[in-house]
Amino acid sequence: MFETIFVENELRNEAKTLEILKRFKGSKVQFLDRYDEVWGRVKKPYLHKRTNLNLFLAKKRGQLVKEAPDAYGLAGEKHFYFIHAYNCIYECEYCYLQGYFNSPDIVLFLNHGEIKEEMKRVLNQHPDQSVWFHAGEFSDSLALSHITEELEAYWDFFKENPRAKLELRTKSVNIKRLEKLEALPNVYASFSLSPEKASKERDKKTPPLSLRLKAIKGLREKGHQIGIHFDPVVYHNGVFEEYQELIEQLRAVESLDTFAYFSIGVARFTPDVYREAKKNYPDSPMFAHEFIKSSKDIVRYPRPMRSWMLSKIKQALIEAGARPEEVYLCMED
Amino acid sequence: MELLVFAHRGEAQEFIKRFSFVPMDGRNDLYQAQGRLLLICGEGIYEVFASLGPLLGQYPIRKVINLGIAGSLDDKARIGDFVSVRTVYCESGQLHFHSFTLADTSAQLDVITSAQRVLDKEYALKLSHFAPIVDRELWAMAKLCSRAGIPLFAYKLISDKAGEATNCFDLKSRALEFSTSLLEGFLATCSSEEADNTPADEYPLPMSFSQKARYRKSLGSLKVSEDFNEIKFNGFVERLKSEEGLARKQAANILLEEMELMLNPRRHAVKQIFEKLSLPLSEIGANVLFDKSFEKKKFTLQMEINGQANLEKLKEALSQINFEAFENVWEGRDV
Repeated sequence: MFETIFVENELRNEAKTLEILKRFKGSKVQFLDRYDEVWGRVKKPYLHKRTNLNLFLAKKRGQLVKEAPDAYGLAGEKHFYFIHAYNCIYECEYCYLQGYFNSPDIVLFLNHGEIKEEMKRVLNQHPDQSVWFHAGEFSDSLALSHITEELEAYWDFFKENPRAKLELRTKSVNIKRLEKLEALPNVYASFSLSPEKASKERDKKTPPLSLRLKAIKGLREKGHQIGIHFDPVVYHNGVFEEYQELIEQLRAVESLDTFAYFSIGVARFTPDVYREAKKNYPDSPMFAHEFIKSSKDIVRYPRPMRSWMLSKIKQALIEAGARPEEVYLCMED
Repeated sequence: MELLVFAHRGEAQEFIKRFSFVPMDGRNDLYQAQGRLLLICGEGIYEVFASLGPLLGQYPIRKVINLGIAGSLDDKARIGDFVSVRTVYCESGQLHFHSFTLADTSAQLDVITSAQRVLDKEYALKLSHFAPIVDRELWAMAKLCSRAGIPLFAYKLISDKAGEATNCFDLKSRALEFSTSLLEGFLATCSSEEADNTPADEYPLPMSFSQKARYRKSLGSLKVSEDFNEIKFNGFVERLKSEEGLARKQAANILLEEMELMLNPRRHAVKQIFEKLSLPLSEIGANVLFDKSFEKKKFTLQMEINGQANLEKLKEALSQINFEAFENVWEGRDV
């Protein structure tokens, strides 16, 4: 899976490092002082991940927890994300990671203790409200959880601090570790879903929709809280019929009013990511409709178009039983 | 015109014989033969900048092919292999951030260009973190070709293991052998790539420069659309062509608007509703201006006022305008 595993010297004898190296015996191993001596030093094209994916085991330095932008999650609450990894094993055509980092190689940060300490400090800074901590901003939060075993590292913190909420964003069905953990009312596994056809075309290497729905069912049965992201919605003729079908498929799994929240977002990019994605996937139907650079320096559909798409899907969700107050529009003013 | 670039004459010798290249302009580093140029650029990135740079501006070169030997940094590049290069990186005392991906989309191996010879294991190891092959020139060629918009292909013959053995490596004594292998690899790999596949400059209607740009952009998007019906589109073009009394620019504009409508199906509906909502204003000669994509939730009102009567009409028209109705459209509620 990984061509070379680069390990920071400081971590070379850590139990977790040795365990990971044992798991990937076929990979070459190189030691270095800091992961960023190699990672991101040169512009490694995104699609090289298909044939030459490397793994870096490193310690996260600098800012460990960052405040999330406005409209990131449910309104009225503080939102932060914590950085446990960079990059992802999947390859989604719209993924902003392709223009965000200068390398598709995966970095796993192993200093979870320090990250937890920082979360505690942030939580204490906001004593009178709930504080969200989102995982998966720069990486899928479950896809490699069987290797990193990081869920366990954070569980006690959220059990002891019900005011802190954890969101695990994923497209994965790798729920084995999560299933074994006690369901907590303040921990949410949130699945990004697209209609089956769209998912097959654009979410390369991700598990099919049917398996994601099965994973959702499995977690609900164990009492875990589930959030759903319909994001990104990409326009084409028939898009609303496809989302109607997806909503029905979801409703067959579980009544929609039992989901913790739904978020809907349309395809959007920073100008850099837009350029990179068009370069990487020049024939993608995703680019068939008009995108504009809107006032926030985001490339997206013109306002009437995206508002129309969002409101139609929101309406369909509500009509199918989702609670209106739990449906929010992601990154929309 | 195709340009073959070699660092050393020894590497090029079999090509010069095989294609009967003859010296050009009294130079001993530049040759020509039936639609091809051959340049011997010298070793290292600075030689490339000095020799290849001016040449790209001087001749109508449509494709550059670099051929040469290179060192292996990793088992993925085995001695004797003839490989096409995917991406090139550079180390010249410091790592250069910019990389260049070459034109062969099926290539699998990367090269790092080093400004210095690789004479020790430690340096070879450092370079191997970025690519399995090292050469001395390719990054500079890629930088020049990228700037000039010329596709670049590079084929490397893996000649040795880079590192401590580099010092003892005798290129001259094995030059003929390497040149023969490079030629064999070239003939096997590049023979089908000789044709000049420059796309024809085709537009269905006479267009201005800016209309052509709009056409190219829209057509590019439409071609990847699942909903694009090419037969229907061609029929529309034919009807436009046969329409009498349409000025050239006007016909082109109709076509472009139709294409843009296909790309943004809401545009037409929104435009119609906004026209209807602002009818009281347009009827008295006021222009209601929206931004091109209807992104901004505002409009500009433009009207010439040359008397009290105008002002009275405007007051009356404004009283019939409901901004909330416009907002509903922007918010996708009432389309």
